[in-house]
Parts: sequence; structure tokens; C-alpha cells
Amino acid sequence: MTRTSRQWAVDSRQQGVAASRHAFLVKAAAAVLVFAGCVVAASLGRADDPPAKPEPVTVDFELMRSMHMAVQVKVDDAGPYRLIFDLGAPITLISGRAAADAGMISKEKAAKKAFFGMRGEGKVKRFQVGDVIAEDVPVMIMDHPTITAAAEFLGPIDGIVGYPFFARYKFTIDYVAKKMTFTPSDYKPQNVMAQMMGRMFGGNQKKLISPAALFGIEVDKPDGDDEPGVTITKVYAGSPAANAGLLPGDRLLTLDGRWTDSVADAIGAATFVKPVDFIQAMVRRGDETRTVEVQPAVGL
Amino acid sequence: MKRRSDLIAVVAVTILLPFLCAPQDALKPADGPAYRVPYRISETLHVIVRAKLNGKGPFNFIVDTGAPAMFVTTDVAKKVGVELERNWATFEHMELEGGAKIKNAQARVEDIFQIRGMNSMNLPGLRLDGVLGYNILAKYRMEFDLSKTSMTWTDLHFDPPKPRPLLGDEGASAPPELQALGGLMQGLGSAMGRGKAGPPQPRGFIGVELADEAESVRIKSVLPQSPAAAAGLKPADTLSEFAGMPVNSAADVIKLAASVGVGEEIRVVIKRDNERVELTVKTGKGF
Repeated sequence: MTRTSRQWAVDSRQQGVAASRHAFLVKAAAAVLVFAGCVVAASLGRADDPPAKPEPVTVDFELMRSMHMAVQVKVDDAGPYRLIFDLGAPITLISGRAAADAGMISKEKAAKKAFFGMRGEGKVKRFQVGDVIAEDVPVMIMDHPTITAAAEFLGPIDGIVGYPFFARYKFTIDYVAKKMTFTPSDYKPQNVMAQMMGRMFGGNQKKLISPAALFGIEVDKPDGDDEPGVTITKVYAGSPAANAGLLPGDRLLTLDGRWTDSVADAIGAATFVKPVDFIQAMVRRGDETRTVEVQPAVGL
Repeated sequence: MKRRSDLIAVVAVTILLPFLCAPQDALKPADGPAYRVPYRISETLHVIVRAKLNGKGPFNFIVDTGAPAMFVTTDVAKKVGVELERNWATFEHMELEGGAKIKNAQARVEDIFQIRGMNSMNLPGLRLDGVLGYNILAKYRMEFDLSKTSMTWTDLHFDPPKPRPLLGDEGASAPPELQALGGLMQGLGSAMGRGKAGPPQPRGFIGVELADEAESVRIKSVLPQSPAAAAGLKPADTLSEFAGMPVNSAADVIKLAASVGVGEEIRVVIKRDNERVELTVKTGKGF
């Protein structure tokens, strides 16, 4: 394949032109892209650097009868409101009522009927969960029908704390102690709506599995082989794998703690490593299972 | 606003309605072993961990504090060959990637609309097989840091109760209008030719070790009998162009190579003894 055609494919994808297959698709895409247009760019990084050695902040949570975690949240100093802390939510939702109290939307707008209770989106300047304060947290303002219905059993619920909040922190969850702790993390949260619109209408992206470092092995697994692991079929002389003592015929079971039950999974495990860091590979050789240390190199 | 709220409803894997359970305070025994749990972030920004059920799998699960229990798709139940009892299954042996083992893990078997919706549009970039909720997660003190590639889960020796659906075991875990979203996305997905992405393919292998120099990339070593050796690359060559693009660092090269599959040809330009040399590398298998 030539560079130019590849380049073109990348360019056109970036321009979001992929949804041009036929008229129906274009219409369907347009219906959704209208909304993609109002997605705010992902500038969720914190402006101010976290202090040198931040102490973890503890947040108590309530374990509701439904076994959901509820936390007390202040929205731009209004509240506190009871929100569900939800690791499965890529977005953060707040109710129309909370948004109105915080001055994000008018009381009239909060009271109006809206499809799915969707009332828009915005950024909360000070989003406070217990004593943890996050700045400029993007939220959807939405009276989600499921939450409204659940609130009838469970008492008032004013939204969901999701990824745009928790992704900023190194955090722990302990259901037994009913406590969480938060410390700022280096992770830069992404924008889920922008990401998904890209996936829906960016065409079928061909993402290849790209190892982050060089090991120097080839692995294989024939059809019908249902045993755990993959077989190492080749070890390049002088490679990091050879230096670690790996041999052709070894059955690679895990790499860096990840299962390697298929060729794709084995190479996939190599996408998470950092070159020059020592990692562990678990291999079976004959009847013996052993763990070896490998130091993958910068290369490909 | 319709499509947007649909998406929100589908990606937020909050399973709220019919589950209630008598909360029960646990004793606080000493911590058990800590596990390093590898995970990845899906394109839908979910934390995904893998688990094997009765030795089958691995299956991809969303770590979901918004779910009252573990949910698996009917497909998973079929693959594992587990018996259902009023839409619940008990998996004798469950193993999380990283080594944590759970005996007799109970899961609700249901094709929840969120999973159907996301899978049919191929939104997550991987096949979702279920969610891990309270009855699994509460066993551990979970430590997350999305800037790292693994989490630490410490066994708390706590056996959480299985939640019971308020409306009975036979019902679905979402109201019908939300259930319908799963089908709607499925229809849209097939109309757009989505959801049929084959298994992910690896990029091609070259067989060179690289070293960053001031504004250039040096070939540190060439693995014998590798594609790089076959193409005539030699240690001490300086790489100046890769696949038609100028490169200044090993990171540049690795980034460009990420879109080159196995068996494809790449043109590289090197400097050797101050001469410009053009070579063609045909990538191979390996990593």
C-alpha cells in the first residue's frame, strides 16, 4: 500500500467525510451530527498543577438499598445533592433542579417537559464531591427517566457522578468501609461524546494492534487449540526475549500480568508495556511453569 | 436532542430500576491478598477487566458501580454452558485477569440494552460481555488510577449478598422504552455496516532496536534474519524517513508503523556514511 492512499484515508477520516455511503446513511448521520456539533472540545485538563504531595481526601458514601453508591455533591456551591457514583458512566449527569439552583439554567427551563428529560449541557465551575473539589467539570443536565423512576423507591437522586469527575483522580473504593479516597492523577480525561460520534461516523477505522516495545518473538495458535496461552514459534537471536531465556516451543501464558490466550491478546499485552521496564512473562515449558523477567527494548 | 439522549442512555451502564437488597454491614477482618488487575479503557471510556468463567473466555466486563450485580449476556451463558435458574447463573470458578479467584460467582443473565446498543454499533472497540457490579466489586478494595495500566484490588474477605430484582427474576432490568434503544441501535448499526469488525490485526514486525539521538533516530541493532536484516538495514544507520514521512525520534517511527500491517512494504530512507540510501522493508509477523 502506498503512503499517499493511506494518507488520504487518514485525512478524509479526520474531516469526518466517511458517512457518504448512500442517502439514507447521510440522513441518519446528519440527524446525529447535529448534536455532535455542540460537543465542546475536550479541554478538561486542570489549569493549575496539583500540589507537590497531595494527601488523599476521604469521601464517605451511602450504600443505597439498591446497592448503588450515593455521594453528596455541591454544584457551584448549591446543594448538597445526592448523586450516584457510577464507574460505568462516561458522562456526569445533574438534574434540572440542581442545575437551576446553581444558576446554570432557568427555573422555567428546569420545569419544562423535554425529551428524555434532556435540558442541555454545561460546565460546573466547582463540582464538589464530599470535600473533593473539581473545577470545570462538563455535565449533561438531564432528568434521566430511569433515575426519576428509581428515586421513587430510593429517595431523591439528582444525577450521576461519572468519568469526567473520577478520571481526574487516583481513587479507591471500599464498600465495606463505605469510603472512597481521592488524590489528583496525571490522567487527562477524554470527551466521550466527541469520541463516540467519531466512532459512529468516522467509518470502520482499522486500528492495528501496535506493541509499544520490541520483544523479538513470533507466536502462533492453530485453530482448534483451546489450551491457555500461545506457542512461541520463533525467538530472534540477541533480542530481549532471547536475553530473558525464552525458547521456541515455550507456551506463553501471560505477559505483564495479561492473559495471552490468542495471538491478538499476546501482541495486545505488548501495547501496554513501557520499553526498558522489566516485565514478567509466565511460560510453560514441558510440565514446568516459570516466570521470567523480560526487558523489552525501544524498537519495532 | 433525541440521538444524543439515546447515546447517553446506552453508554451510561447504570442499572437502576428493579434491584433492591437488604444492605448488610460486614465485619472488618484483616485484608486478604492484593491483586494487580490489568485493565484497558474502551473507546466508550469504560474501565474494562477480563474474567474467565469456568475456564472459558476471557470475557470483557465493564467495572460498573452503577450495577447492583454481575450481568452477563446470554451469549456468555451459552459459551460457558451454564444452567440458568430464573435468569441467574452460578459460575463455580471465576477468575479475574491478574489472579483473583471467586467461587460460585452469581450473575444475572440478560442482554441489557446498553451492551446490545454499544456492541451493535461497535462503539467500545471490543466485544462487551457484561458488567461487574456490587456483588463482585464489594469483595475488594479497588484502587484506580487511569494514568496507570493496572489497578490494585485487595481482597476484603467480604461476601456480599446477591441482590434480588424487586419485580421478580423474570422481568427485564430496564423499562421497555429503554429496552427498545438496544434494538434501535442494532438496526442503525447494521444499516451502517457497523458491528461486523473482524478481530483486531497486529501491525507488521521489522526487527530493529532504535535509539534517539539529537533530532535523529539511530538503528541500534538489527535482529538477524528479521525483515530489517532482509532489507539491508544495518546498525549505526540513521533513519531519516519512514513510510514517506520525516522522523526525528523512535516515537515518531513507532507511531507511523502503527498503521502498517503484516506483509506490507515500507520505504525507508537512511543515512549511511553520509550517503542517502533508500531501502524497502517488507514487514513480517512478530513483536
